[in-house]
Amino acid sequence: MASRTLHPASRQAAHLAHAGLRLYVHVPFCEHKCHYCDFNSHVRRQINWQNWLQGILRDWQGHHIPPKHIDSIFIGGGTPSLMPVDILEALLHAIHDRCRLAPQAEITMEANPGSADAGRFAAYRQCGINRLSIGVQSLQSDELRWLERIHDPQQALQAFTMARDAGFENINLDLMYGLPAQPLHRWLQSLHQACELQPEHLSCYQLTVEPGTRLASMHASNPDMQWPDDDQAIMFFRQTRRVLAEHGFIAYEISNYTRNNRYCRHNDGYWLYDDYIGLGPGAAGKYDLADGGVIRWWNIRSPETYARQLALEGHGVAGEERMSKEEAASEAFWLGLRRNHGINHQRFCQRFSPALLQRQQQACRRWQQQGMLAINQQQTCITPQGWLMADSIAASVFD
Amino acid sequence: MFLSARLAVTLPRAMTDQHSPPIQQYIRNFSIIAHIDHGKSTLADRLIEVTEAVSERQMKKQLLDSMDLEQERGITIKAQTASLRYPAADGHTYTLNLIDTPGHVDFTYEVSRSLHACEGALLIVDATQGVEAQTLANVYLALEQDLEIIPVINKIDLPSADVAEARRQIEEVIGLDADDAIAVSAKTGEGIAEVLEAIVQRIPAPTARDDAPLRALIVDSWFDSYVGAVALLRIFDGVLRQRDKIRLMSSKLSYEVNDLGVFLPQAQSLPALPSGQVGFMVCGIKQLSALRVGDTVTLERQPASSPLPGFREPRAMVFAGLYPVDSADYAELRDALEKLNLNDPAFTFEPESSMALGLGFRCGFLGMLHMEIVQERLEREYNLDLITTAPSVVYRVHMTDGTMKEISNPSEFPEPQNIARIEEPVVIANIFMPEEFVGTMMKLCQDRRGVQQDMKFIGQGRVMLSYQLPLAEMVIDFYDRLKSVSRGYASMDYELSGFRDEHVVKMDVLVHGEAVDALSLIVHRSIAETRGRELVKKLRQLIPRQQFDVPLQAAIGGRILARETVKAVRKNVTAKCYGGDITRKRKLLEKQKAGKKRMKSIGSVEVPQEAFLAVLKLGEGN
Repeated sequence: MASRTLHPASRQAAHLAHAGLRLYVHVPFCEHKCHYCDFNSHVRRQINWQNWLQGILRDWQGHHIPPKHIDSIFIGGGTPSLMPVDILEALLHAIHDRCRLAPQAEITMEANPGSADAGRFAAYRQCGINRLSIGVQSLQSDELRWLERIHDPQQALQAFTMARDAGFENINLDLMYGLPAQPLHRWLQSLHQACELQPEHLSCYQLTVEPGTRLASMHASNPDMQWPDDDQAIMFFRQTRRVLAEHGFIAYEISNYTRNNRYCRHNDGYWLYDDYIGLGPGAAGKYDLADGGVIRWWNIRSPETYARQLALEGHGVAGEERMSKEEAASEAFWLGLRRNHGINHQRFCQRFSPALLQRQQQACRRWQQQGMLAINQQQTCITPQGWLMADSIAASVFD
Repeated sequence: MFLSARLAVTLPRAMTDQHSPPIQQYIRNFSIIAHIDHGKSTLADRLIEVTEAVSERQMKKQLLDSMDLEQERGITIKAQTASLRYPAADGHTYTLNLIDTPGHVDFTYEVSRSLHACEGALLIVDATQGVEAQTLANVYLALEQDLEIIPVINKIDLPSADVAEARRQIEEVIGLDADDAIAVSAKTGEGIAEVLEAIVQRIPAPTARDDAPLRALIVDSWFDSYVGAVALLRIFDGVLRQRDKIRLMSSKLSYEVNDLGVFLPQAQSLPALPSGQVGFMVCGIKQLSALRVGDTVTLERQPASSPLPGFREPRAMVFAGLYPVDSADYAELRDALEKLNLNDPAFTFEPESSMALGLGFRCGFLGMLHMEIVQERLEREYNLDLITTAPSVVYRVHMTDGTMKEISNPSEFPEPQNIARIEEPVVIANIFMPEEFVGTMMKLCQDRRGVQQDMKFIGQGRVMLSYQLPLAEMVIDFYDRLKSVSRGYASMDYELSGFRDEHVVKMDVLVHGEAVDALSLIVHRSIAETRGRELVKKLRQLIPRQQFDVPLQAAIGGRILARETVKAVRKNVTAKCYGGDITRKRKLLEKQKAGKKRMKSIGSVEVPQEAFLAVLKLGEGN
């Protein structure tokens, strides 16, 4: 962990090994903070969008992005779909002005299924957003209420239709399972219904109790909440995979599924160890360094403190860490294991070295013996039996 | 080491004549006895300061408690002494030999030797606390030695001091005449002059027997890295001189005196120590075990016909296995034990190997505190990470063939069919506490198989309970429990009272079908089920889930008493890993990994250190 924050300008020396760069823009605002949420989102009575945009642009200025093309943009949150269209337009204009977007660049925006948000989908599409990720979570009204979501199933279905009508050909739905006392069949109902909409992409997460959330205190004070035990969680996981396979979805990552090869290129970039820049409160970034190591940094989470520091010091960085080539190799290895194709040996050896590849493989050899890891000529990847132990397998690289 | 610092003050040594041998009638030998924290060390400091034996500059706070550990615990482990020059009111200058005593029940024998070297004792009672368990235990020891006891009521400067009540308790609980008790504040110095006068006037002078064959009692001994073993002696008969050839009557070893003298409290060499005097002797001995506390020193050329009475071999009462957490540290542990043993010959150790813990040592201690001290010194002074197995006591196992075996290690426990009967050691414990805790205290004692002997109301809402308790029940966290059920208000002292026939058995713990020797314990049959259930339950919480189900069983012989299962981990996967905050996710994984490094593998099961300590924490749920 870095003890002192570097001014981002001093990172100019950072050597960008890969051609492409990914851009993450964080919108830290929500209308309501759900009890389970540990993302960097804040409820503000009034959002000064101009200030937010100025912050993003100033943050970016500090990074001195070299004239490289950008492969993907991801506008996440919070609730980005609260954003007025003119602000989005200005943001995307600014991005176009400053760098070259790859011709097929993936530009994703996260959206809430509420009617006000959905009303802006068409305009978002016009601005250049070409992928929409809708936070549906569930298609059961009681579950949505328990999750404190402010939409109902009807609105969720409508939002999808409106997105399609707006011309979105690449849509993701976020769904959540493993709620307390949730019977499997109700989850599968949501899942089936979502499949019938034929989205290109589905993210299915198990609900987890994150420390510091309201849910965590509810959990602590109420031991009677019927959380799924391991066996149930395993059943949810397996059934999800089975049902989605039947609908033609491929699980290309632990929680992510796609039809027709429309995987999320932006998120895949994290697992492929691509460089990315995070703009906005709480956003994180990563560059490759000339010595083969990497630098990671993360911004201040509070929107106000972030803005203040940006104004005073020209950057919003809260902390950073540098890793050696060896450490980076471990990290790249376990991140790669999250993908169904795992680690591509040729790519890994180009970025690091055959010796470092061997070292990582050696560290998780016992998982191979148990049939949870497959190593062939081209790649190292977790097998279907291994998915449920992915964290344990990943942790072996720290041996 | 602290001791070398003390001796080094006098090196090179100059013989001084101004400290000419005192005539016996101007010598007073005394100890200070007290309950922990009643102010023994402060009073000693004050006496030394007032007699100007040390300048204030030299004086560290609580001079006599010189070891770090002692200062932290506030108790004196190693007895030390000082010869104070005191010009009394009668115009004569007296030599007051203060002989410090260890302050804990584990060192009762050492205390008794220290007291044996005295003619009198100051008995301190805290004016805010009254008589406590150790006050009583120490008074009995002093009375056994026929000492003149001067009651001293301390801490009268505190607002909560109640001198009259302290006097009443001295009379009623201890049975001493408290009319002459001196009220003092060791902190402010009030009453100290009276104490010094009382020592001169009330404590008898030692009897002069300079012309008898030498008999000197080894009151204490310790190891100094410069001069070797040092003995603190009380000369009863004869005179000991520099260069004398001496003989130790019980070990039959002979040496030549390299140096002798007194502590002021710095070491001061003298040409001779006359009868009645207390001082040190150095013979260039490398092994501290040669100078055993309680042994008698005599002269080669004119030996005494019989030794002084009361010598006893130090006897280990509590046994436990000590293992390095990292098995690579075994050699280091052995070196550390050897070095520590030079300083503290009272503990014993021999190599032992455990299937679960690898190579280690079976160690014997005088008691629980002694065990803790040794363990702490090993960890602190030698920087070792240790696993300590559950302590056990010495059982007398009578075999069907008529022989008797002393067993302290569960792994040596004979097959049940060969055992005729078993005796276990019992103690008499005196527990002092405020009235309101009597109920919970009685329950605690009963749960520990105690038999009530006595109950006394001692005034001010305080009660003394006497219980006969099996030592085995005391060695496992009894003292902690006693403190916790009384919110720290209870005090306790105990002494070994013998053996009684009991139905004890060896209980094994099986982890994944394998008996783990380090978890075996000897337990009374009547509570075996309860203990077994508790133990496996506790272990289930402590042993992390593995990739397979791990059954945990408690068993006597082939009979399973209790069973729990550590369910297999079948799922360990984080759903969310996006948004780019990789650092946080990596830290979580690293943490998972770091936890594993501190574990011992038993077969294919990873067991954390705490699991081996679970045995120590049994009975907490009571």
